[in-house]
Amino acid sequence: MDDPVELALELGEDRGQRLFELLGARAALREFRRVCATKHALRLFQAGEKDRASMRDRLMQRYELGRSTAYACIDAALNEFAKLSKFDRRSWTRAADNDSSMTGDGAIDE
Amino acid sequence: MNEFLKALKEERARIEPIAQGEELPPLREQLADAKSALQAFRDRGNEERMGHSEPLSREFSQLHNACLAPGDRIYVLEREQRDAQRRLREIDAVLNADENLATARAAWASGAAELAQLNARITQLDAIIGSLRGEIDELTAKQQQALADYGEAEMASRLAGKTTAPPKSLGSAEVELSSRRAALAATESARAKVQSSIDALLQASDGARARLRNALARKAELEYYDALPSFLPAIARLIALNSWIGGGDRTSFTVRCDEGLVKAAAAEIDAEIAGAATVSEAA
Repeated sequence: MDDPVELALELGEDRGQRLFELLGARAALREFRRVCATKHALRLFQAGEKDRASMRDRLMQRYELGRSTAYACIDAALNEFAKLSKFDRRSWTRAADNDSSMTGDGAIDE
Repeated sequence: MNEFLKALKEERARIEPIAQGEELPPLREQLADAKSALQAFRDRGNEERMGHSEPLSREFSQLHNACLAPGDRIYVLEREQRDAQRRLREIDAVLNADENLATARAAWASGAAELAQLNARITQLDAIIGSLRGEIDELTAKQQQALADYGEAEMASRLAGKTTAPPKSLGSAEVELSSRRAALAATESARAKVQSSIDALLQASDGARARLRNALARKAELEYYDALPSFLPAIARLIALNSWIGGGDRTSFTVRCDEGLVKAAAAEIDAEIAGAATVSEAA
């Protein structure tokens, strides 16, 4: 059977959360929020965010997370962000790529 | 089209066949045949030639000369070809000055924009690293305090004949510390990668700057020759008069430029190069 969190992610943040709330699946809802928060944190890092404390507060509020969980999500996102190969740029003449984190595409809806 | 460009295009048309070396392939073929014949002569061996030295020497001389003639011509043509190819590049650089300048400007601007992005990343990562170090220090201090508190509580409990379990906060603090340390290591590694990219870009930027300056120079040359025809009659008159008086060269006149003007032009060029990068960042 498919992972319900993965399935809910396809519905989007709001609809996914409502689905778990309706089902009363609290553990799945917490996991879903944690996954969403991590993805959101990654997008924030890609958009240039550097204030971890501010990110923590925003994640806590938006996803109803505890402080430690919010930080855990931020750390997980940071690990992912640091792995991105986009840091490794070596050609002066290469045209700018379509990196959404650089161009501002995929802006954060806050 | 002005006279200068017309002359350049005519010169280009004239030297293009030389640059392509159209005469060379048949000559090379001829040389290869002559060499083969000479080699075949040598392969016949010394024995056969014993006692027939004079006619064979004449044959050898003929074969050798057959190699020398195309070889000499090829040497001359290859030198002319190299000269023509160099001149073609010079001519093309002037004829395509506008296009080359646009390309060089775009490359320079793209690199500058990339550098700005990487610098922004460095700033971001430095801030994150600073935060993480602060958080690690704070968590470590809290952990040590919790450990000390637990030690005291455990001591008191044992004196009373009991024991206590370590508080949960100790375990969770360790988990948080591990998480921060892993994030710090990853972020520092990413920063090192960005820094090495910046170093590589800065190194490459010297080449890009040189290409841009070169393109600007060819463009300036084009503009100069574009404006020159209207001055040429006056210059010709001056040269003729100086020559007549005996005070100058018969076909040229040296123009001196004020040093301040040259410095001002250099500053303007620097500003133009810097501006090319700024435009891209704003775009």
